[in-house]
Amino acid sequence: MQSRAVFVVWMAICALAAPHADAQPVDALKKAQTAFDQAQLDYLQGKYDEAARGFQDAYAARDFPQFLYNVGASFHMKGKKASDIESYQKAVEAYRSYLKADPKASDTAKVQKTIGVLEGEIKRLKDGPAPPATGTATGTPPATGTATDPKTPHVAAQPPAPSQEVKDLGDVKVRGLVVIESEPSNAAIYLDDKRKGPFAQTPWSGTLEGEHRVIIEKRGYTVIEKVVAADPSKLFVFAAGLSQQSFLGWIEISSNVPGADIFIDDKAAGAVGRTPLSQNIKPGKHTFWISAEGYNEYKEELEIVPNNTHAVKATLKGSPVGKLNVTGLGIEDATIIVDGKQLCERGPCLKGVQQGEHTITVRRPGYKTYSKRILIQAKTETQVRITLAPTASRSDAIVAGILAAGFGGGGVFLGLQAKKLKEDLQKEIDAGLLPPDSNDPRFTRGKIFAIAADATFAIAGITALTAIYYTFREKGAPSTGLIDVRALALRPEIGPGYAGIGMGVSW
Amino acid sequence: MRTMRTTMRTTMRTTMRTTMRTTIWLVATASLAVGCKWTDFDDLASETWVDSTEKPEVKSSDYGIAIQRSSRMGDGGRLVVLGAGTATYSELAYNTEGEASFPPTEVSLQAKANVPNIGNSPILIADPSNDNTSLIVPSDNGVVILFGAQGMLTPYQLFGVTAPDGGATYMVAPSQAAPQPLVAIGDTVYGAVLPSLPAGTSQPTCKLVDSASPTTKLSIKALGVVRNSPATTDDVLMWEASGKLYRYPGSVFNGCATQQAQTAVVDTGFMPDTGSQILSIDGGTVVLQGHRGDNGVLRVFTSPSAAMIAPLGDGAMVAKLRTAAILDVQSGRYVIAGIPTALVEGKTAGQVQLFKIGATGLGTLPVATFNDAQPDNNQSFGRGVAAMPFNGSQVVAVAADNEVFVYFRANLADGTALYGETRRGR
Repeated sequence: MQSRAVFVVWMAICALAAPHADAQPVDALKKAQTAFDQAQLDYLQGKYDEAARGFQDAYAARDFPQFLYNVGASFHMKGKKASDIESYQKAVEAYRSYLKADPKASDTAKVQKTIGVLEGEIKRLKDGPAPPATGTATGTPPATGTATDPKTPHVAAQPPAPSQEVKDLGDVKVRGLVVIESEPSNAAIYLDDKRKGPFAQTPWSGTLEGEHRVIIEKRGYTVIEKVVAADPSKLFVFAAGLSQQSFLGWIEISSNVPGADIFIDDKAAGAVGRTPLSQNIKPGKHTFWISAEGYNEYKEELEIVPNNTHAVKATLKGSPVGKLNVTGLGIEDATIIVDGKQLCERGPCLKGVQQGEHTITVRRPGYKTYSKRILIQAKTETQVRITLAPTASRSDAIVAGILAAGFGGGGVFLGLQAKKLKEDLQKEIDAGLLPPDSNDPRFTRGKIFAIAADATFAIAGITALTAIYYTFREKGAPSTGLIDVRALALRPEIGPGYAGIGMGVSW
Repeated sequence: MRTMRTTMRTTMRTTMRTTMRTTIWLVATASLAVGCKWTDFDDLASETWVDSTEKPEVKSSDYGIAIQRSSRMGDGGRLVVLGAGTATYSELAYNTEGEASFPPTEVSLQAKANVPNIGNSPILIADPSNDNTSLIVPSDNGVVILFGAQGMLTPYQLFGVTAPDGGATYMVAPSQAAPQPLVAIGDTVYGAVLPSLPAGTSQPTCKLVDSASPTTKLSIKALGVVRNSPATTDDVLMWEASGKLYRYPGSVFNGCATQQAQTAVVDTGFMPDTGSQILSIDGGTVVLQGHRGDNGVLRVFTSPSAAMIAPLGDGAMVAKLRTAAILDVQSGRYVIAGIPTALVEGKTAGQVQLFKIGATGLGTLPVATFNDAQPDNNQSFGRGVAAMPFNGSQVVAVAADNEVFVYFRANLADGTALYGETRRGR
């Protein structure tokens, strides 16, 4: 009872004395970390009192609620090992302090449940028969024997087994802690991607599972990014010192539709975040696009001035939207384009498209392109099941091309022969010695060559045109698409064993 | 892999399209560069100096065995062409532009005068005064004179049954207003009065003898004439098989009581065979065309008086010579010598050589040579030659196997003009 009183007093002192985290010196954090590390070691060795004390010290240095949870966990385990009422009571106190320090803790329900179980266990132990002997969990021998049977040889008394409820809670593990701080504080913390919006503000402490990219940004300061892979059982501290950048401007982008995609300067680069978003931005002229599915795109151009705050307040006007669902065999290798803009890099593609007529184009290498103008209606799903036909072989075009070249070559040869004959005849006629007569076979031969050359050129031309036609003609069956339009309707539904939003589909 | 396939397809497609475009461009360029107008060859054919007319629709299988200038009808020119196989007489007419046509002049000699065929050396002579032609050929009924005047064949006369192997000539005979044919058969000459003998008269004949040996039977191979000056009648020149050239008075045309001795004689040194010719140049000068076997000679003789015949120059030895004609153009007088079996570029295509007739006789070497620009074996180019009056000038005409050539413009071997363009409209 005395120790419990001491613990309560200590908790009270801690609660009063614990200053605000951001007001504590840096060495306080180091002190807390040292105490945390030792306490965790003690915990692992089963020295639950020492562990609890260490976590209390850590909390005294820095008032992170998780430390209180760990205090509770240490007493919880001690109480469980020895069915010690006092330890259970300390555990309940520590858990309550934890919930008080962090009212929004995500595990509130779980901790409250634990408190309830432990209080029940305390009551059960108090109401039950007194144990034959008590000892501390640390192995302290019992101070007294049983009065009823003084002759009974001394046997170490076994603590009563914990109740089934306590057993069901399992062994409690102390929690690690991730602490993200910045100097100055009140910087926005983003996890992984700014598009998700700010995660918290510095200073922040809590648990993080897995690896994350932590982005810390504060107006007028450089952005700091770091990949954090925190050990769930350790205290991990990420302290970011932000340096001032007075040459940057500050942009605050908001929209009447939260979560709208934000594009800055280059839409092809993808969305840089989602509304609302505040961040540093280089001075100069910038273009901002804010868009959300089902709404018209908002665009604004701003001249960013260093060290000034600029706001983009996008008012997105909704427009009727229907769903376009492009499917089909091999669609995973196809690109879906709507009105000349890529809708999906590869299928299947299910996206919202504004109501109205749109040209749907599906391209797949080696297959004929499917293109059709489709009317998308609001609150409907237009499913286009594509059957892409393979691109036909162009061997006939190649053959025709070769023939054209061959005929062309033949025409050149014949033309040159005709030309040579003509020149020879002209030369002989001009010379006057043994001039050719009007029936000289060379005239006929030359004429034949000339006619043959021209005919061959004509054939070459026709063949070449045929080759062109073969090259660009649509050969074989075209790619086709089967279009289904289905009405979409979302409505609340309640049934035996389920409740939610249902969608009726009809076509 | 997908990107690579796409790239390959794109590359192939691009290459194919590029190849197509290049092909079309090449075809278009080539057709423009070496595309031909075949009518250019028609233009060239009409531009050439030589007109060649192949056998028209006549029944003869061997067209062009002999040619002779024919009576003209206005400008242009006209040729008489004989065909063998089925013997035909026909004419070729040339308009002033030199374009040949085939007027409906074909006459079957068999149907006309029982002439079954024509030998290799038909006697086809032209009247120097009006270019009327006479054909002296044997028929089933004897020797026939076919008189072609103004594009038609008219009366014929029979001389007996002997072949006319001694030649013939037009002459201005005593008592005859116009030149008349004198025909030689064996050692006798026959005067032929066209279109027909006067009523009640018989065919005048005269046996020609050598006064040095009056009993020796002569064998006449060629007849010609010289003009008596100042008289207007002609004397007769006779080239005998022994090689002697005789001069007889023109009265032989009208016949003689028994025989007639020469007034002058000279040994030419060449023994002529059938088909040899005496070609008159002017009043007293003639060119002898003689051949025997593969030997041939062209030589100028002059007979300034009834008692004198003398050679003028040495003449030219022309192998395989067969026929000749006199060409009188602005650049001078020439002998057109036909050598139908001459070798040309290794082929027996035939050739025509031109020899200049000067004041001292005949040059020994030809001044021009004509042959088919595309010679062929057995072409017989030059088996008939003629100087065809055309547009006021004379042009060379040459007969070959089933083909007739007319040179409307010709150069000498040295490149100078034999005669310039004779066709009008050029």
